[in-house]
Amino acid sequence: MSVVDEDGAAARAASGRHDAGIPDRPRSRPRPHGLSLTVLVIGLVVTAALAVVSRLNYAHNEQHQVSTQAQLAGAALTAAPIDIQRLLGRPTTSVAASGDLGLFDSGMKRQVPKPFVSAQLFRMVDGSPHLVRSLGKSTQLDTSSGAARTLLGKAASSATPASNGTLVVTRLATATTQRLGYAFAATALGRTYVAYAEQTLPGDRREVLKSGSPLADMDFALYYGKRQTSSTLVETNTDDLPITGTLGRVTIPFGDQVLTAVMTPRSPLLGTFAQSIAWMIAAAGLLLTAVVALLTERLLRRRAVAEQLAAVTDQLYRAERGVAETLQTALLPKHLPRPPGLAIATRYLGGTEGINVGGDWYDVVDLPGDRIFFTIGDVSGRGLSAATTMSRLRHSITAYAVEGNDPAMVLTKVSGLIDVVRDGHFATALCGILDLGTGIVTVANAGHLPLLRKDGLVVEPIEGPLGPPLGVGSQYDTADITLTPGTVVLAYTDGLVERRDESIDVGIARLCRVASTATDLETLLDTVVTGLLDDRPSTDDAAIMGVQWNP
Amino acid sequence: MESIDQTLSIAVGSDPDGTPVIAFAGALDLTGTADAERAFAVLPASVNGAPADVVVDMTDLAFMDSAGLTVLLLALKQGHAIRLRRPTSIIRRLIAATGLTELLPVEP
Repeated sequence: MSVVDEDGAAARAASGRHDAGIPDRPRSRPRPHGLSLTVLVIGLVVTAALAVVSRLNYAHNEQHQVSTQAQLAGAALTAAPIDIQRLLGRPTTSVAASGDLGLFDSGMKRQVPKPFVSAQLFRMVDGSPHLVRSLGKSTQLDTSSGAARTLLGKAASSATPASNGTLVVTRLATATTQRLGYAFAATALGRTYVAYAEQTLPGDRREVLKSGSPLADMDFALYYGKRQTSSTLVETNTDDLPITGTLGRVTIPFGDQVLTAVMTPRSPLLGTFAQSIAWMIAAAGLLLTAVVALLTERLLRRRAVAEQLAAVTDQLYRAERGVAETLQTALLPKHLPRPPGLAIATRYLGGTEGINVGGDWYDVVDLPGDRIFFTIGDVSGRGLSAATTMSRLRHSITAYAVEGNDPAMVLTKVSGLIDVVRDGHFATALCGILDLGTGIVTVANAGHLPLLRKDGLVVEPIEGPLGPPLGVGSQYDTADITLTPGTVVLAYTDGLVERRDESIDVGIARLCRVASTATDLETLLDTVVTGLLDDRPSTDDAAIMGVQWNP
Repeated sequence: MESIDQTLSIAVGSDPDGTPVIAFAGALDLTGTADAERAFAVLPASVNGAPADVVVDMTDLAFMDSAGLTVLLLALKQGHAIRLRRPTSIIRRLIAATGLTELLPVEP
């Protein structure tokens, strides 16, 4: 039976056999196999893990990039306090060095009202600030307050004749506005001056400090101090606060205070491709998982179909075997003549392997004149072709015998009825006529195994003329054998004696030995069949016929 | 029995005098008959109307059954004049028991 490898073909094969009693395939869609689901789950888990790892890796790299960018931006922002220090420091230092207060006015007039809304100059006398110059609007810082004295004193104490002081920064908040206040001191020739200026932070906090190019593609927010609240916000370039995403933070010294810059890139620094790798992995993984799971399911279903087909094949094989046995029985004679003074017994055994239609035959017919004709033969090969050829030959042989031909002539005539080229088989056959009155057997042999005669306990082959098989030979001779009362003549086919690794003579000798142990004809055949064929798997069939003359 | 090589191998050659030689080795049974028949089919079955000689070399043929015998009989019927070379005694006996000693002579 050919192997059907497509689901559709299998379905057709199965439905085509429906009337032969083969169960149809279930119509409902079968549930997926556990293995397919396992593959699916494992694939999904692995895909998810890979995607997550990829995403984490991307996030880590992106964070690293943003942090690096933040450091660069921070470096650019450090320029801002230096600028303010320079703007305040230059006129103050000039005033301290010269004592000319007009230098403060001329130095600061371009800085008010922008960037400073107010600028004042104090001279420190015995640790107390005395206002000596005032430009622009009034200061938000109450310069007469203790806090102001502390602030200005702190700036003054940081200045020495050798170097300028530190820029002292403070944040001034009211309900509506915020300002940053800067104090810077210079001392020379025993004179100490402190410049104080205030800068208003615009309501939207835009464009306070000049920011550098590293911030060009970033959303950023700059906070006074380390806390990031709306009240400490100094500058930003976005409305979406607080800033979220991959954050870079950098702390920038701002005079005696610090600023904290928080920023995030507007588009991924590593590029959108790097950002989407995780999604690509997820998509590819899902696709691959789905394909593998589907393939697994398909393979499993095909295996199921194959198993079903194997079961069908097995069933068909059994059915065919049953047909074969029925046919074989039909092709062999059901009833043999039972003339007085003669016992006839036969056994036929199909091969135990494969489809068992064989080509072995036997037959016995009555002839006029108190005689019987018997034949045994073997068509080479197996199967229906061998069996039908056998049937044809057996009937022809008995027909020619009944016509009155002697055994040699029967074989000569039948030899023309089989052609090894046309039929693919050849046949061996043995024919004999037993005269029940005299016990004389006339035998002719076309390539068949020799008759055995059993006298008492002695069994031996009967030598005689041997011609070629039917279909090959055209001329046969007869020989006469004279039986004594009680003699058993055994005719058989090669399936009974032939073994693959030994000479046919060894098999015949074994048959003789086994046959010598029994006396009763039926028992004899049973003994032979049991002794020679039991437990021997064989593809060949075997037949044996025994004739005992008891006048 | 299981030690016998179950497969058939075929070699086609010729003797020094030009006679074609088909050498069978292994087992010539039902499984090998198609190949064996093809080996004969490529040889001319007759030369100038007379049967064409062919030598079947059985030196390495361990086993032959009636299916193998069928191949030889087919070749005979198609006109080949077959001589067997060095068949085993078991095969020789099979041929004799089938009445084919004259039709399938063994080389001297």
